[in-house]
Amino acid sequence: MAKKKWISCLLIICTCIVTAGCWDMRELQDRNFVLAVAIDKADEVKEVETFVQPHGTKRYRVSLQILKFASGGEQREETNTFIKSNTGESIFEMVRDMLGQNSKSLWFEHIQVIVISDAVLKEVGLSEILDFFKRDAEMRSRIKIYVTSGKAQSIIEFTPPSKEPGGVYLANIIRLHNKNIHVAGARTDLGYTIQYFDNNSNVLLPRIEMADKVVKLSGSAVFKKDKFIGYADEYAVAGLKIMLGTEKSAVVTMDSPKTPGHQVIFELFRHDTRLTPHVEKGVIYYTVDITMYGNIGELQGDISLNDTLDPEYLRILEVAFAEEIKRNIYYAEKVFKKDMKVDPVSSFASKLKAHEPNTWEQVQDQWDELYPTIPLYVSVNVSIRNIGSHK
Amino acid sequence: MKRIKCPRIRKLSADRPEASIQQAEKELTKLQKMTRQSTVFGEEIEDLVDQLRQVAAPSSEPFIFTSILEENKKLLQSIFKDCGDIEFRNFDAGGKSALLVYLEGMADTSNLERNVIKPLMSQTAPDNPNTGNLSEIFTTMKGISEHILGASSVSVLTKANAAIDAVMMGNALLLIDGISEGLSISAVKYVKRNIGGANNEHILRGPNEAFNEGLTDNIVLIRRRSRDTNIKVQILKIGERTKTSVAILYVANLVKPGLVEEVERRIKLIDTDKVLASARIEEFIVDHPWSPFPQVQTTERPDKVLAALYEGRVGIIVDGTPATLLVPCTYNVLMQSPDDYTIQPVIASLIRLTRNVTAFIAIYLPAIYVSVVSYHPGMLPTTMAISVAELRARTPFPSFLEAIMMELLLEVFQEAIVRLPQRLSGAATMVGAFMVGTTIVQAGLINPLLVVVVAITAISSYSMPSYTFNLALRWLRIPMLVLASILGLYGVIIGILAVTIHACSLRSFGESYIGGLFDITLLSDWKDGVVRLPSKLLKERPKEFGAKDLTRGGEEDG
Repeated sequence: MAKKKWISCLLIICTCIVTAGCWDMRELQDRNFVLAVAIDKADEVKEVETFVQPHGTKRYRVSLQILKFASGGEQREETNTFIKSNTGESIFEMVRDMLGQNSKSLWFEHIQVIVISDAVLKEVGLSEILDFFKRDAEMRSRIKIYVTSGKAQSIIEFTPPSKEPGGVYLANIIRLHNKNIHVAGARTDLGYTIQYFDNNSNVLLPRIEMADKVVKLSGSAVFKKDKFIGYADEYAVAGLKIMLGTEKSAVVTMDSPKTPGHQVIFELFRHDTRLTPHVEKGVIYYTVDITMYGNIGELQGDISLNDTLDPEYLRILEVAFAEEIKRNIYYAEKVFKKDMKVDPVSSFASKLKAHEPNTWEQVQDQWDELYPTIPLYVSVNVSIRNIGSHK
Repeated sequence: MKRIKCPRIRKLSADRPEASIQQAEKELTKLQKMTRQSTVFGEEIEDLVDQLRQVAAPSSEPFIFTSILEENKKLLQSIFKDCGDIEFRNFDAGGKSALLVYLEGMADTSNLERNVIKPLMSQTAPDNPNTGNLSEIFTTMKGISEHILGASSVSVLTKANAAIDAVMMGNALLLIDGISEGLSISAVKYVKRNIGGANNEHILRGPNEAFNEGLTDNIVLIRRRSRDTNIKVQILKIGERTKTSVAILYVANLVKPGLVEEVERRIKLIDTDKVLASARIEEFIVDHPWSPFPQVQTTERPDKVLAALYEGRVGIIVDGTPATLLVPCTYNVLMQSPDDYTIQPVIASLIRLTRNVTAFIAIYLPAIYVSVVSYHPGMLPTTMAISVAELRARTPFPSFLEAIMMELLLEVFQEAIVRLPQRLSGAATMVGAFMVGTTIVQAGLINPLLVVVVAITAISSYSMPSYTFNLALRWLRIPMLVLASILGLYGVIIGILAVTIHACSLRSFGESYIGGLFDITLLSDWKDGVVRLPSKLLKERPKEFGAKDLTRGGEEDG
């Protein structure tokens, strides 16, 4: 009896293995690594590339950057990626149709970046475009999303001079946002963007541009909910990062107080930034208190005149830097609040909600109208700890 | 066309008369007659033998000694018939004829000459003043052994079986006319290996003596290390024909009550004709003979045995094998090396941790490689996935086939190197290194990453202190690979669970194989488990083995 049990158990296992096993097996080298996706407006519909669709229009051009394996590994060829593209309306449908152009199946687990042209964003909401990427199980939350004013396809066609795979190169640029005050890179990947949609917040994505052989990340594309509003320049992004306290390091420049026409540069090491909402007698206002500690990073004027060993002079510099930072913050406030009327990443709203929940309850419905009128008071305190020189 | 004339077909017997049935019957009756005759002869011979024996011996004994030397000699000769290496030495002792029987080459002849033959032969003068009542002394073996013989270890034997065993063990048997007893004189001396260094368990610092094949020498090696009278040695004879001595060693006031009895019971239950190696005993006494894991620790180091005895465990030494068995055996015990105690505790702890990690690697690494490459490349960081894919782009086989091929090659090399004569194994190593290291990779059959994976796995399994455990790891690798190739990482996890559950349920003489590692009540054992604390702090014996006295310090020892 026991023997029969054993045999039947074994049979069941064998049948399971034979009938169900290996269904998911596909060797690593038999997959097409998609490293980057570009989404453009469908400019010209090429006959062979596309397909006949029963519904909709040819709205997008989706281009995929696919990895080409270097044979042997020793002699790496000039470009190690190639581009396949297709036009249509459903991204999923386009991707599946694109299998007709490939010998190996497309595989999205290692997508690094999604580059979206603003021409598309002016017509369609961001969430509509990203829906496929958030829904599909293969996509990762840490995919970077960039917005460009030019053609997105040409950006993923870019061949990095370092011979890295293009998608990896593009994705790694934003990892340096900690040291680059001109790029607002924290929490801008696919996972966070979807989270912002779910929270009904505004989205801020990094802007990428290409000219000739240069690809550069700087400034931000500003969204109200998922609707594209416009671009914020580097100075505004710097101001925003300082205001929200998301910067790790920063470089602040100004004219030397003693030798105008020559610049003195402050390098931020550590800061303490508090953006606080206040409600007094029904009036909402914000204060931001910043204390910054840092270094003299560069000094271009005459050293004998700009004597950093003189404590008196350092005090003058500290006050001047504080003024400069204040100016920067007010510039950012003007760009976002007055010009675009967007609360970037809904940070002001969430602060109010956290600190003054009762007030938030009252004002949340008319927040969009109210927000541009709320004043912001800035106080900055700069402390220069090191001067970076010796006698 | 010419017709070939065909001869008429006839019976075979017509052509060949000796093939007829009648002839065959005749021959058969002749044969039957001869068989009958031979049985009659056999019976007659048996009668003759019985007559020779004269006295009815009990059924368990082949014969009993008589007081006539010639009869005894005949009886012994019938037992030792065709044993060319048995010596019968007749001589005259105090006027009586005496016989010394011994196995040539097993008995020390010079010792016998000096201590037996010479004193006995010098008793020729019947009225020697020193031994006035000589005839009285010569009436019993006891008297002879007490007054005349110079041998150190003698025993009087009345039973024939014991006498035969004594001779076969290498003792000399003395028979004297008129005495119906034998005297066994211990003079064993045979060719044997000297005590050498531990070949298979070499350690860097610490003693390097190892057991050899002789049981007595092996026990001496342990006795010499401890002057403890509580170390008990119990000797059993196992094997229907070989009658191999098996010694059970334990410390009487430490060992867990019942353990020795259990070991003894299991060894006594062994029903076999021969015991040539201790591994045979091991297979008979383990709880789960189908498990790949070794459930008995084997060692050739006396210091290791002694350490185990003082942890309350039991040692089993088998005559003829240097590999000594220690029970109970757990995963923890197999993962320790005597070297851990000769180096600094922090370093030993790190080494032990590494060993545990490598045990894991040795089983699962190829499986993880196959499942990640075939099913879950998304688990790899992108840059790594790209470089792995580029390495694999040239190889035509699926990763599972590749891994199996590589494992097979590895096993073949290991087997070749072990089996080949020592001079050739170097050549085999070279061929292996060239073939796998360069040619196979260059030919694009196997990708270099897999070579690295398999090499790491092999090296990991070699780092196990116990060879049998290393074999278990090697064995387990293959089912894991199959699981990984069918179910991916899911299969690997199932495999890990199965192995862990099996190891937890495995019991060696009542102790859980791996369960001790997770048992919170055995917390004090952790001091000398995956890590090793300084000796000052190791004041307790492992609770796991249930020693009667848990403190190593002296007070309660009594």
